[in-house]
Amino acid sequence: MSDESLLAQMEALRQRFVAQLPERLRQIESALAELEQGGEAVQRAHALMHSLAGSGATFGCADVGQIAREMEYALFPADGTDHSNDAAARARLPALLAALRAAVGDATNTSAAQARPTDRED
Amino acid sequence: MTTTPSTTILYVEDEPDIRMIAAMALETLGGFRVESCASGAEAIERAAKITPDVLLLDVMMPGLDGPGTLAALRKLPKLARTPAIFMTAKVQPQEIAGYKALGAIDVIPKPFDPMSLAAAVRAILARGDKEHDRER
Repeated sequence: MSDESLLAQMEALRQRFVAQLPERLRQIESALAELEQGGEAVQRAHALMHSLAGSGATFGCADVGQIAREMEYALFPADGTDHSNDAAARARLPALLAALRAAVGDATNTSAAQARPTDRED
Repeated sequence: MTTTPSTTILYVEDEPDIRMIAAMALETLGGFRVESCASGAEAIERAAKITPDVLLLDVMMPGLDGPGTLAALRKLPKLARTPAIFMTAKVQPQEIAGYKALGAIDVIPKPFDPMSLAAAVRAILARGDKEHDRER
């Protein structure tokens, strides 16, 4: 595979990642809404945020990844403790979720704009 | 360790897109052969059939995580001393020390840049060689 072909395939993967962002956001919103249930719901929320945090920047969506990381660490800090039941930690989530929505919106809009053919006046 | 065109990496990552982009980068830019697995269980099964030169493991995975997978792979005599590298967002000095205590030679931070991933693996392996030589 040539470098050009690699870049083309990476771009295709990036576009697919971006296209999936709204659904991943929806899954995170749903998981966070179920946090009260504890157990598997908490694990699911953690896994979803961790996954997005670990992949965002790799696919050129650094803001999305960074905000997802902040959300993950709000509930599950890097020291391995679980703050998912902590009221102060949960209080940070609405603002972070709003920031994530905005970052996902930016990423999808930018990607859509790049995909649109340029209007030309000859 | 000196890497050659036939250097085989057993790579374990549960995220499909990450797995795909990392494998592409390692193969195309690094010249590695990559055996990709979606889970620790799949890696253990695959390791019975091949002899990888390097183990590259995501840390946080559902089911068997990276450290658990490495512990299981180490039980295979042929992989007891195979260089292992973890990929993780947790890269504080004490966390890296913890991963090394589990048998990894180093850690690649996540998120990673696909364009420099192969170079990072090569640099870690080369550094591992030097440390090994010093210890002898």
